[in-house]
Amino acid sequence: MTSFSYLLDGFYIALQWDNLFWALIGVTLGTAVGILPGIGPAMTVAILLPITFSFDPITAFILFAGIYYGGMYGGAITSILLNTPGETGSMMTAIQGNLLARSGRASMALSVAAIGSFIAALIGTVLLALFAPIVAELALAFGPAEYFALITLGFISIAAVLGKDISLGLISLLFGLAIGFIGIDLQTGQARFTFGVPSLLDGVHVVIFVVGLFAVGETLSMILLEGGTNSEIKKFNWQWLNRKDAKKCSGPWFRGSLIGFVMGCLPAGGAEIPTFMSYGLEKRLAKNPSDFNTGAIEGVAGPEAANNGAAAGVMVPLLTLGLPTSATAAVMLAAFQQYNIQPGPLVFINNGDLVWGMIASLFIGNVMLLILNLPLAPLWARLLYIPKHYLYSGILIFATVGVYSLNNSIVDIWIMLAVGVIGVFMRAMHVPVAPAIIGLILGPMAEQHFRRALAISQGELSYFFESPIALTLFIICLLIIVLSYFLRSKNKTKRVKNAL
Amino acid sequence: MINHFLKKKFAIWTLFFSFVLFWGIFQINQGNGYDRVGPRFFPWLITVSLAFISLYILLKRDSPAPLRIDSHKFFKLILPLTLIFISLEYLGFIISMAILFAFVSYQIKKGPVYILITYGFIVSICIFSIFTYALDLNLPTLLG
Repeated sequence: MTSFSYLLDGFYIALQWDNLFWALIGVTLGTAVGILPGIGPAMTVAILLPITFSFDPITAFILFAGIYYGGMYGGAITSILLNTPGETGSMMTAIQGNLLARSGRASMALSVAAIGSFIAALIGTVLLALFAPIVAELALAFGPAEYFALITLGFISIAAVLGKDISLGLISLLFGLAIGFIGIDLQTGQARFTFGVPSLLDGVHVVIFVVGLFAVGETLSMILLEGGTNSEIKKFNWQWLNRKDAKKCSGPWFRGSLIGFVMGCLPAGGAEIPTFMSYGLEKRLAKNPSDFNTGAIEGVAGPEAANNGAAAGVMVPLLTLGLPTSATAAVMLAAFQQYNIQPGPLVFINNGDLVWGMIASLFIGNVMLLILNLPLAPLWARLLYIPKHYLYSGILIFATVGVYSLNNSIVDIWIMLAVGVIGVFMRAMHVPVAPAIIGLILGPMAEQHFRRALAISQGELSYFFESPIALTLFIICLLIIVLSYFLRSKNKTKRVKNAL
Repeated sequence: MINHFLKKKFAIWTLFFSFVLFWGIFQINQGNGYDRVGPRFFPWLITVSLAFISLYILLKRDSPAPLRIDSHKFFKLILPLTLIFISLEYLGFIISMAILFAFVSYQIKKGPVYILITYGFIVSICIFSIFTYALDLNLPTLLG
């Protein structure tokens, strides 16, 4: 069977009425939640993780996929209307999008973002369906040494790319890794970092950690760090996209989609870098670069397409290698683990229905999103009228109920609160939270592969450098650290020169 | 100056955390036949790295300026939250979550408490009903 026939099977699953219904719920919920400032798709999926525990896995993933893409577009709405990106991937959309909105072209900017998201997601999903099985086949050649090198690459690149400072990214990663070691060691049966607390013998559940860091951490940070002010709502003039503008955007849409997908596939890609690249490229290619001072639609079309292209791209390493390269992908990995499914090369064989059903639902979700978002953009903007204080209080209740329902245990709520408090300090110190989640999920996996590799090589560390794939990956790790250090130093020098 | 002090305080906390982890490592039984890479090896690697990076942050001067947390406000938020979560087992989901809703809303934006409590009850009753009757989950009720 080819990818195409598997995809057709996926469509058969995704087009069933109940799955269509959940896809619609997912995209609606994703867009609605994405609109609310500070709540990205990662947080929405995290809040819904414990709630969907009783769902059929295919239905749950169709819902999550809808939320994922819906949240991506929802983030663009807040970026454009309020200049408050829901997550880092929407930062570049906010720059030109808000300038356009302020000049009375909000609807046009929203339409450019909606169509750009649709095109990028469509191109990205086609490429995902084509390339993911090929990458999965290549990944079958990976042994424990290669996997360990790959996970190390994931660790390094996430810590290097996210946050303002590589040392802070590494602190976050190491914190997540340390939490990941709490509980019983699977190979020896010895308790680690439990400090005599029996409730910790099972370890810290990923969902509790994610909900604590995102939902509780964000709510507490809102009170302690920002002071709780209401978002400013402005009146906008609703002027729609015309044919000339659409023609102007076609190039940025396609370029952004491709940049986003390719960068999303790379372990160091993430959602931010492709949007920066696309913005820079469009500014360089613009016929009138001065438009970027007053609001240029190319500056919305390119980054928004790149953001959504990357959303499809991150699915490639996630599904084929079990390697999350963004916060949302890390939460999706937690979702897979909730159903005892380990993404990796065999997931296409062992859980083909689920994976292809999910990929097909991404196509369907995109069509739904376009239908929803083009005419309903003004309505979505009204969601911003929900006062922040009610919104965040509700989120905290949802977080509590979700975490409690995991094991009906009050201890889980204590852990959630403790992680939330740590999340506040992390935000205050500009420590990125995503590496901690990735560390928690991938840490035990890295240890397992490392110990397996040493068992095979009878304790010889040189085994890790004998395989050309592993060696290449380790060299890339080193290059990322060195490059990241030099790029940051260069930026710093530039800032100092500008200040002088 | 305050930022620099906060940054140092953070580095001291992470250093303290790595010492706690060191202590935790000594409590792990190595197990027979796992001399080279046993259950202690990876936690040890992580802890040493954490200690070194904490020292690096402590010594370097150019970290991004941290956001300030008012310690008085912090305790005024965390202590009541802890009490509310303790009350969950005794007062049940609806009452404690109504209090939680009102308390968090009040912390973000000051307003009439009776309105916040009323909204809190409406929200918690709705969530309780959805989770208990539609999703068949057991949430704590008043007096168990």
